[in-house]
Amino acid sequence: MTGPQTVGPQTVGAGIYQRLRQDIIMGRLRPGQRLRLDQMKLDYPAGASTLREALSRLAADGFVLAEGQRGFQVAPVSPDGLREIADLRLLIEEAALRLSFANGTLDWEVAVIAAHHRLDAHEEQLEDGVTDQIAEWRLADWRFHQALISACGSAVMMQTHAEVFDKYLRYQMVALAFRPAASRPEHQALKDAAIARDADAAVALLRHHLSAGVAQALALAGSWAEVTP
Amino acid sequence: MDAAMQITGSPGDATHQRLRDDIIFGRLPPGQKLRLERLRDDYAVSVTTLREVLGRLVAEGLILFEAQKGFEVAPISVSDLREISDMRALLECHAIGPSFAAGDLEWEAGVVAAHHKLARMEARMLAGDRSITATWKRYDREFHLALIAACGSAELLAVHQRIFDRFQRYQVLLVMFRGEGATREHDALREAALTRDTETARSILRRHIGACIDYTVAHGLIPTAEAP
Repeated sequence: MTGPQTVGPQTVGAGIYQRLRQDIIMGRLRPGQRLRLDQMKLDYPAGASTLREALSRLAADGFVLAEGQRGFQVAPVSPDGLREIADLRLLIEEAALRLSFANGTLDWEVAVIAAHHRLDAHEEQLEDGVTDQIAEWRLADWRFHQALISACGSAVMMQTHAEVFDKYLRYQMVALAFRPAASRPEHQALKDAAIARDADAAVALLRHHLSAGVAQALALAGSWAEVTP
Repeated sequence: MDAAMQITGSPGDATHQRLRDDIIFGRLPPGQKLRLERLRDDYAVSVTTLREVLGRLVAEGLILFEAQKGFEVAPISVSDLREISDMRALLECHAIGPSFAAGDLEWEAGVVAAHHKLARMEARMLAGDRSITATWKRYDREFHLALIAACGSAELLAVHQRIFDRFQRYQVLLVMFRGEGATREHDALREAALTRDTETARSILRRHIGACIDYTVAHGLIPTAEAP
């Protein structure tokens, strides 16, 4: 659902790979969970060799660990890992925001406003206690942040950001961290800063937005529910 | 990462590494069409394995896929090189901060050793010996990695690795050798690392990476007509 599919090319050869990737990002496959080929053949419609190759690709992405010839496990999560990925997201997104705010056209503004509108509708629902569309909300969140940087002029930057965002998202999902009441006005302010082309304000907002998200996920670290192999 | 991949040892990992090297070192030139049947024979692997490997290389930006045209080796362009260089500069200039701050004596020794190997190869390149080009490129990469090795973020280093692969492909394809200028910059980077002078290192590095683009454009190494 997130970055790579929108970016496009990563869907290639993808069926099982994408499904596994999504199941890891959305926390349906838990950190540390052992992935046994004989069991997975029952859960995913694929043969052992297809599964094996999909898993090696996920290992290259850092979502899965390969344990020699013995098999695979879902990559574990850790507070340090979360901090690293949040720092990396901030580094890339901040640079991309500045470029995007400088280059964005009217079409870009329209895209930002539309993406924000969709996200805001989801966050309003969440505030009202409707929580059956978490995945859709996360997608809307991703699309909004992507829209903000979409005028940065660098496909390399967009793709790298998408990969990092997916890893960040996984932490949010695993920690079950969501704070719609707080993030809704932050997203609103980010949108306003975009229209006003106030990059400094947007960067300050993003910093706060991310550090609050990290702090909440860390506060919930006890519930990260690692499956010990 | 290369070592880790060898440990996993699926047929896909070995094929991935071979194809990746063939692209980076130009044996599969930019724009070349990649047909599955042909690759299956050349690399002696199944089509299932190939699909996953090609998908991985698409994600890494070394291969393109278009629904009508199939797979091809990613073409090169000045704008693509600029994007890759900018990303490399962003990651490395950032990583120098925490690396210089946290690097211990072991880290210093790593920097000094990597610089020494690179300087030896640069001296031979300057003397006109092109037989060691591949080694020189490897040592160049090792030196730049050594500078940021203590940054403390495995995530950053993993992303950097992918970007550097793409950067290095350009360097190899364009036979980019800037000569004494680059050597002096490497010397200055080494000094800045030892004195933990982060700001100086950042400004040298920005110039160092940017100079590759200037060199490429000045020498017309990529026909601009091919740029998208």
